Amino acid sequence: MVGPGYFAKEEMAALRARLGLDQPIYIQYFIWLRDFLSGNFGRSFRFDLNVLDLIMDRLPATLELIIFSVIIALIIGVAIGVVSAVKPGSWADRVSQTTSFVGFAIPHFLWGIIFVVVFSAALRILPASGRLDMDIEVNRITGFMLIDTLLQGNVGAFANSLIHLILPGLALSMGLIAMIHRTLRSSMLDVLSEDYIFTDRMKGLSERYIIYVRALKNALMPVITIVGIQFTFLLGGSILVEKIYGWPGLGNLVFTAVQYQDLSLVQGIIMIYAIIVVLTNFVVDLIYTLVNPRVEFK
Amino acid sequence: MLSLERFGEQLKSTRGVLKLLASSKKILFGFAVLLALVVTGVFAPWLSPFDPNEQTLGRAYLPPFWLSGGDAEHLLGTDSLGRDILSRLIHGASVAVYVSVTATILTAAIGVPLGIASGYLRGRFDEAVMRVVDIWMSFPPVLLAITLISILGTGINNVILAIVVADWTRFTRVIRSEVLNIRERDFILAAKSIGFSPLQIMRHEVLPNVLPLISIIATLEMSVAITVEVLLSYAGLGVKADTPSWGSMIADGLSYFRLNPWGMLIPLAATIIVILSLNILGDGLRERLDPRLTLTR
Repeated sequence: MVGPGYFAKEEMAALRARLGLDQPIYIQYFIWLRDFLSGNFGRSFRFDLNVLDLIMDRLPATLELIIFSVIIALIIGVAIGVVSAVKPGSWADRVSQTTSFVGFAIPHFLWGIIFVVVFSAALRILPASGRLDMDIEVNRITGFMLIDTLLQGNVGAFANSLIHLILPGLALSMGLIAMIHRTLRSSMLDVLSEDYIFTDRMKGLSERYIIYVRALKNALMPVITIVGIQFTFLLGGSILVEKIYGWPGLGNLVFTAVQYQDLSLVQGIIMIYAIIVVLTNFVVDLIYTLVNPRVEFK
Repeated sequence: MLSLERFGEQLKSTRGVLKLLASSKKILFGFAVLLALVVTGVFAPWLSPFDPNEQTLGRAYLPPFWLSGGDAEHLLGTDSLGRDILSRLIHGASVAVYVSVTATILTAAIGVPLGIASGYLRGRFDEAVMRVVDIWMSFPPVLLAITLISILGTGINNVILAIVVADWTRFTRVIRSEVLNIRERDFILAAKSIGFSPLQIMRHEVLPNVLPLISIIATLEMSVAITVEVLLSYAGLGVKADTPSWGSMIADGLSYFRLNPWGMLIPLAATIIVILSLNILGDGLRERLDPRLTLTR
């Protein structure tokens, strides 16, 4: 950024001292670690703002998108998974299997582009950029648009932000839908052949109750693991999906940071992503113990 | 379903390969598309009717020949700068082939030896490699690739490097778990008892037995490599601006979508067809080898 010959020697030395660049590399590392642990991520060159403030400003948008797509994926994935498992080999099963193969093979960002072309450019039924229409104003409370609009009792804006979430959310969830479908199909087939299901049938419980309550509860275990593992890929996928949909989250910020070689910002965002990955794994473990009493913390 | 050894034998002779191709529609279809892609990519300079960067601003936004206003000279039409879309598509195939083949060879060159060694040797080495793999995999590969490009700069070779660094774990992980089974087999015991060194066993006994598996992972790795190249080029972080790539064609095409949607739809379709076909090929090979195998992610 600052080339030689641009500053006088003394100025250069003063600048290096101010930025801590005159210290040996391991000292620099510990200074960075101390600052990082106390919540000081440095300043962004590009925006001239505190990195952590910038990240916190954008983080809710990214989390909202990811959580929304996990919810879509769970609803669709579980539905087609159950349909597949209840009648394996049927046409419904084969359609679901093909859909999930294609959903999985094509990466998030291509789905993003496909949906823009189909639903936004050709059919013009869904918006393809931003979180809200231009003319709608919502005060920021939590940063989660769905929550903020509801807290302010603005139903129109809530519906508007929901509509804006559909395309990027769906693009991001395609791979996960496929994974949930595959996992649930095989675990459901296993569970349905177990003794307790046989007993339930003998007791004359309705087939619907057996499938949706008795079997599904146990068959969902591996699905939770899959969602946890796939969370990393959703984070990665969200970067490109955000770029395609002009979503004002961390993913878009990464591109800006990379473009301007804003190193402290890049570093800060990467650390935040890493923290999210670790926290998610922890939460998945917690959910695991809640769903299955046989799993205990040691 | 074939046993690993028979599958390996089949790959050794031309007749065996032809038999394998004829045995499954998925394999045949996937292989045909892959072959078409490679031939197009390799012979791009001879196949393409125009220089992909030649601009004729007066002839911009031409639709493909089958639409009114189309021109038989530019079969797939022209983009916003009047460049021939077919020629750019063909040269883009060459980028896709170069990136995917090179990246796959390099990831295999790192992943296969590591996977064989950690699966066969076990112990501390295995522990260490697997911990690194776990840590690597807990981080979004796309973010890793973008970060690397931000440090290295754009360009086709840096794209390959980013793919290799982000995705070497795939070969390592899958090969290792297969080797864990192979090492318990009798022929390994036989090789040990006649005094083969561990290195000899890994080279002459274990490696030939994982070759079929390598071919399957390679098809998936190629599709991942093409995906990453397209997405990086789409984001402007891939190949240099004067190199025609499907990703940059899609990004350009989106900007003039209302004037000529084909500028974007054609490279998008090409990307989807290639990625799907490679996945279908991998799936077909997997079905022949071991239906229970899970390779993806």
